[in-house]
Amino acid sequence: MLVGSHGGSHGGSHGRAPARKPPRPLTATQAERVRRAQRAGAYVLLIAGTVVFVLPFLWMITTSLKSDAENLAFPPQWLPDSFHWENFVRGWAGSLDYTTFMLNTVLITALSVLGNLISCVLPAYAFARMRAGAATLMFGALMATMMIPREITLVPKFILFSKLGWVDTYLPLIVPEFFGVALYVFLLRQFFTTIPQELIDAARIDGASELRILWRIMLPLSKPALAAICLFSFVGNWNQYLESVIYIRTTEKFTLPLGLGLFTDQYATQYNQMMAVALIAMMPIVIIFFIAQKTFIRGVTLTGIAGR
Amino acid sequence: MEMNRRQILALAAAAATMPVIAACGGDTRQRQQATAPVKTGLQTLDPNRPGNETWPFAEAEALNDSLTWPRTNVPEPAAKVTITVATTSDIIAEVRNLQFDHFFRKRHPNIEIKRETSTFDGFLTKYMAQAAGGSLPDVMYNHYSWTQNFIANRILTPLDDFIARSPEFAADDLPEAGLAYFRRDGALYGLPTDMAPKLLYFNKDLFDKAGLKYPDESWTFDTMVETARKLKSGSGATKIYGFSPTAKPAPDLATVFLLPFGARFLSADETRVEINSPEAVRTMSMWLDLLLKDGATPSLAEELLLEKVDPWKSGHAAMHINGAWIMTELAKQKAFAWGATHVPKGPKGRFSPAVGSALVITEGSRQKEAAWLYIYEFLSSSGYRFRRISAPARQSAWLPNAEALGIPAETAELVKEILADYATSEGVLRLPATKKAVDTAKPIWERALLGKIDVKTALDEIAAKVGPLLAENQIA
Amino acid sequence: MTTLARREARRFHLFASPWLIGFVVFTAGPIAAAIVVSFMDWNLLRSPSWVGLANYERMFADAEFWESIENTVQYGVGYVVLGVTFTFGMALLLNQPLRFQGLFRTVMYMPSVVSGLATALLWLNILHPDYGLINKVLATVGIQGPGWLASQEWAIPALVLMAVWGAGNTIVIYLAGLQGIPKTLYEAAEIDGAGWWRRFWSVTVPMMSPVIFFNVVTGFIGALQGYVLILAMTEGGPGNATMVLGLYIYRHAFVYFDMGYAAALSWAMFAVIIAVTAVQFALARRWVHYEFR
Repeated sequence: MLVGSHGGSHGGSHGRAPARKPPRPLTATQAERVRRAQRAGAYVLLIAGTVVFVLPFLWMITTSLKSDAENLAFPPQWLPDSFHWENFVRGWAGSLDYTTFMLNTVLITALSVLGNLISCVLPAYAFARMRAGAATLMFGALMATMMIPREITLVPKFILFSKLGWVDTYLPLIVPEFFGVALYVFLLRQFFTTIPQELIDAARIDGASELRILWRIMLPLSKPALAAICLFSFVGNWNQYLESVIYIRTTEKFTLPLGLGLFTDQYATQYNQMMAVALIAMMPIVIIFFIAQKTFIRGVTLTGIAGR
Repeated sequence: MEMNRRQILALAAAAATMPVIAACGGDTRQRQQATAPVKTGLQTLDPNRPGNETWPFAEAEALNDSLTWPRTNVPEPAAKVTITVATTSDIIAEVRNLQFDHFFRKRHPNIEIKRETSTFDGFLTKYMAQAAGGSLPDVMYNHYSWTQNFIANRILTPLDDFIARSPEFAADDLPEAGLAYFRRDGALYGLPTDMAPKLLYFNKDLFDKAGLKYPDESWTFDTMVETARKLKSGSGATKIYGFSPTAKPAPDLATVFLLPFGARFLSADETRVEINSPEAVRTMSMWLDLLLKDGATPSLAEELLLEKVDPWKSGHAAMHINGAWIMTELAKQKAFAWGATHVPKGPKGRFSPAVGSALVITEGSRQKEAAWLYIYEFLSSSGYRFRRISAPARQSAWLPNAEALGIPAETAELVKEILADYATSEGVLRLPATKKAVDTAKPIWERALLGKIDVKTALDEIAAKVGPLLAENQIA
Repeated sequence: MTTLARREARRFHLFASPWLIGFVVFTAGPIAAAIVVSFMDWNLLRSPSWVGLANYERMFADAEFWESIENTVQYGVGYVVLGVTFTFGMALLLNQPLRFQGLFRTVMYMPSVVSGLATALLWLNILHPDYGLINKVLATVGIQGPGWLASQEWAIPALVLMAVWGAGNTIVIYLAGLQGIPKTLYEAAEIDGAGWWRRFWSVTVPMMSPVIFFNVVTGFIGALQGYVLILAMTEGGPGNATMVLGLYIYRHAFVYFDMGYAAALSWAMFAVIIAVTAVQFALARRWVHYEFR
């Protein structure tokens, strides 16, 4: 029902009624009615979806506002009796300094995102658009690195980095990010393969270098994919846990995920303060997502340039 | 098109400027440490005066001034040394630790402390990796079920020599039952950082409502089971359980649920499974009936949720067997009135597992003497009084700590009595195969809890599967 | 011509070098170590000792291992079939030019962002057999709901449901892919009189096929390796019903520190994943449309 009208198009094309075979022209009023019905249907589905998807977020908010006693209530109390906003201050700066943990996380994440972007674009282009004898073999190796459970390379990697003296520094978390992430290389490669060959051939005839083709054709046409990689890389590094646990030893060097763990002791969890801090911690991701998803609105349509 | 490009640029710019922000932040941070404390609105976070709402710095300072610290013949380091101390903690305990370190540095100006923290869940992963990488901390936390494995792999230093050189160590202040986990071939490798027996807790409100008499020293497990049946009521969210937890495989399963009836999970040397013996089958059947026939303990489905919100803590269980360490939280809550007494007697006697964790000094440490000075004070009676924990291994710290935490004095006396009379490490699993044995037994027992297999079948299957794992316990 | 080919090959290696160098420096060594470790007995505290094929022999005789493979395949297939189709539908919906779309998309991504503990607690409440939301709704229409996470039969379906609900990344990838379909193709199809169903099958699906392929391949890899969600929700229970291979490996590596056995299990997982992926790449020739081969 809605499928026909997607593709980032606007104006006339999506407004057309879903035509059945054989095509039968609709009057303007009929078309308008169908269009409205479609739109109403879409909103109903989206709002229903919103209710389902927003629940954990609401749960976090109400939990963050509960009193210490309400933390334990069972059956769970959905709404606190009164709002305990002080949990945000208690959690963030009442005992340990979470601003420090936040800045540590920002540093690691920003450098890692940057490293991922730089180091994934070039190999992805090579795998998508260049021929070489070893290409298939290397692509196989790339894919294989994704398939090996990381639990089993974690300790050998740890030993490697401790030989380099990198334990209790951020280097093991940042440096490898500058050498390509298989998942993102594969993702970008898939997007690069959808770009019409005619565009590249035309540019080659004009004498453009490979870097120029990458910069002027591939990247602008793959913005949504780049935005997606930015987002995944940001989220992944922001929430990185297992590796942080073993590489970061000193408490002052902790990241937010490690800091969040400290609201739990062996027997109990300070849910209200923890959720308050977790809410603050997730805000940068929400903002990054909101920026990234804007590249999906306008759409990088190939109208007019795809000569087919 | 242009807009899109701009957005991508904005994203990249945001990413690129962040390290700058962070770098600035880093600078500010150092400056803050030197000069102005961070204003938080609630109170101030001053690295030179660590504290929070639970542990204000002024209180810590006054308490510290009132305490005297034991003497030792182990010398102070002649020049500045740094020791690394790795413990599990949470935000509240961590602040107390920081305060301890603060005053420790004043007493020992030549010892600098580098503190490493971890959640309980992440601790072993973190430090096993460090062990593989060849750099363990000087002082390290140890759960009672890890120490024997570390000792067997020669990771830990025996402490007996340091103890001999410390005339005010007061060995008789530590309950012998709690030390067995850390002893091997006559040498002691760890000192308890908390230690407590398990008690029978009861919810006075629920007993009053049912018009029943509170549990006391005279109770047997038969009385308890019978009372649990009577106290069980309601369903769904308002359900009241007569007793929690439901008996299931755990390191101290035997001590709490089986030894009173003359049955065991594993043999005393932990190399044979005994959970399918006739006595064990009879006893486990009794516990299972309490769930399946009477519905008086939480079912698997009910526990799935309640694990996060304990039925006892939320006032949904009339009776509960747990360690003395839960009293810190219990004393704070106002939701229901509670009491505690001796665990019930069984036909074969009364048993309460004394369990706790330890601090150890690693064999690779180059600052063993400074490390000793640290744990000697941290784990002394004064150290325990300073930390104000509700399960101090030092008996002399029980009463002062109970008073400070609002735990009734008679309950503290009760704990001391249990530790002196019948608390034991008997039956508590501690050898390397413990985790595997428990994890292997659990899913099989869960099928019995779901009513899919009968007790005998389940216990035989546990014996068959756990048996081969125990070879690992014959550690060299 | 050969000079040209050689020049292209050189360019290829140059462009691929960031990944290639990283592979050689940071990845290849640990992978080689993981192969060697699978023939050893290693508890991280002692130096490893050679045991030959013992870990593999133990694995083939390990009933829990085979049980975990079965669970993993159930979970993986369930997740990919449901996840790939549901998220595609969501992406199409979120691609409509409607008001507040940015807000709707952000909300849809929420499950991928919120604290794992919040998610776990929430779902424990939703799925609870007695007072969970789902069973209460089912009860109003006279159906007695299953035990979900507390039932051996329904635990995996419940986890699949949770995983699909949290598959925001897959939706994002679809959304990104949808932007690359030339509008002209739809216009041409419409002029030919194609209805929405035909436009979907003859324009959207072929144009999206590399992206769908990506989601199927990585969805399988992720689902076959995944264990974090399961660790938080059921720890493999009840009665091993949700003991997947990833969790089994995690346990041997980081709970029992039986690195040799964990390594052997890892290579078994690798074999399963590579077999599934190879089949997918082979099938891809029939349905994935690339601009360049």
